[in-house]
Amino acid sequence: MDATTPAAAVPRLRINRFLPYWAVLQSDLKATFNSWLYRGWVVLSFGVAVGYLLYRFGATRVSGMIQNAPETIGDLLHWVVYGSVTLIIALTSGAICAERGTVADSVLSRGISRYQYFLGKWHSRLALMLGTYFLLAGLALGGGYYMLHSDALTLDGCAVAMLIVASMLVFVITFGVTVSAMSSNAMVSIAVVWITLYGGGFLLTQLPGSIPSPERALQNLPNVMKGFYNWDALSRTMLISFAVSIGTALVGMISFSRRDV
Amino acid sequence: MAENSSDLVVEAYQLTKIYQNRQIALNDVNLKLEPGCVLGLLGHNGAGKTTLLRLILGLHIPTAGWVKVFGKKMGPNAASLRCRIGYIPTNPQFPPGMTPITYLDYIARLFGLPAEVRKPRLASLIRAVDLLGASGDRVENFSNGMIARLAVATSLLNEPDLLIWDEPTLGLDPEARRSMLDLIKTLARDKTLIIASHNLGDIDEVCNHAAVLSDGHLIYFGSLQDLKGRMKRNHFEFDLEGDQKAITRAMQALKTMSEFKYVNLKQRRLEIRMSEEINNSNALANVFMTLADNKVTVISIRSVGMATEAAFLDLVEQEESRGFARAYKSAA
Repeated sequence: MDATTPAAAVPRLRINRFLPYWAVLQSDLKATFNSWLYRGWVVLSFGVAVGYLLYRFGATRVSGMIQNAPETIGDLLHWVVYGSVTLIIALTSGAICAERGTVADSVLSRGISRYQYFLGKWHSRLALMLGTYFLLAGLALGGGYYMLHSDALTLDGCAVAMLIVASMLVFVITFGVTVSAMSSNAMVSIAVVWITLYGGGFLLTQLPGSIPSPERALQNLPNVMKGFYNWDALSRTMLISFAVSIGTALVGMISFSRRDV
Repeated sequence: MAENSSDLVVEAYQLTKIYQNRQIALNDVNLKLEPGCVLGLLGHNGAGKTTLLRLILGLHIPTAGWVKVFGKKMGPNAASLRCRIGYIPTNPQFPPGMTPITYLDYIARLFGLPAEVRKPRLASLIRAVDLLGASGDRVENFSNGMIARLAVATSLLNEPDLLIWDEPTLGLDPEARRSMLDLIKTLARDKTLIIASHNLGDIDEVCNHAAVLSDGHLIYFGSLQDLKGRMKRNHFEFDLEGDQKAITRAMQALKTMSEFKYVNLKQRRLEIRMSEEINNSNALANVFMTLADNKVTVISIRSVGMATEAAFLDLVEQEESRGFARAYKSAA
């Protein structure tokens, strides 16, 4: 090559801006899936669902008592959700603050923004918890359909009932991750989320019936599964729930991006 | 000298960090780090070294002032700036269940490196830091030396222009420490480094610049030679010849003179440290005249090049002795 020949251009390294977010999401998904708390939640929920359905099925076979699937599954979802919320709170409220001063340093000192880190954590918890919920609820519905008196069950009603519970869980998960991003201590974070959610839920039940509350929504699940629901009202409530969740996440994300790690 | 602030690798202006209105970790720190600098960050425990490093990395947010890296303001969302930095924290922590391969792959993805770049690079680094035999083992079972080597590989994964290593030789055996220092010297040829360490011998060996922090205040920033030179000019040793009694008499006479802070005689070696304020030529003339009056011959005289440690301790001692006087420095 003579002196006048331009040097071969060094190829620019192609950086994938989406990759850091994806890395955090995948890593968190794997770590949460492998945690004993998550596995405990799955085993407990599955055990309760199977036990309850077998008990109702046994009652039908032994004494001939008709067990209506909508009421039974509605009851099951109602109490499984109440119990699961505590475990979901524990699974989400430490998502970010538990890593402060330890692994978070090693991650956030690399080429990742706080927004990407928050979104990765939030979406991973959402995906895992909702995926698990849909799987377990689907199994419970399927089991109930075959084992119980299921004439009154409607397919669209079941789908709407599952969506109603999912919209509540989306808020619970989002609120947990948000508080986790704003807190420095996992125990404090869990306590705050637990008191706020259970306390808030209780207060909503004390308000007039025209105001939607989680308890009233859960009590209405058997009717929804039978197909007796007002889609417009329910979809509006679910949309409000999703909007509040997104607003909460935005607060958490902005707060996290202005905090020390 | 970098004329333009965009040519600087790190620039801090009135950088202040107060934790929750309770603890002043860093107070009004100004520094400019040019390309090719190997900066040794010195200070006692709690002096603010790690806080300064975390502010440079954007892990912490300044209470006042700012820090620029490669000419751009650093902050929590300045991911593209951090892509040019390689960091080793004091005690590197790793997510559980990871092996060197999965960990390096994870970190490389955090830098946005596509598979065709990150896979060969992480393989080369694992080989380079001699972890090939342990590349499938879980990191939680690693020894301190292996963790240090993995941390080095991690910090070089993105081929950074600036390396920030917090206590890189902490907990290493002498052999691993030697390898680490040799690596720093090699990297210093084409990278800018900031090394925080308590081991002043290490700083002395590998750094060309020093920054000394004391209680969150930057009390010295400049070349390491200048830091040591502060002591060098006023500390001398004389090897003497003559009657021992005459030498002792000369030493007693020198002790009475106000320009000498410290006079010590060990057999026939006289050690003298002068006050900072005086002209050392006049003081040395007085030493020679006193020795001549006592008929003592000088065999040799040398300026004692104080180690970085002594210079550092002297600097901190001076800073502490200033007391309230330091409040007037900024006003002056």
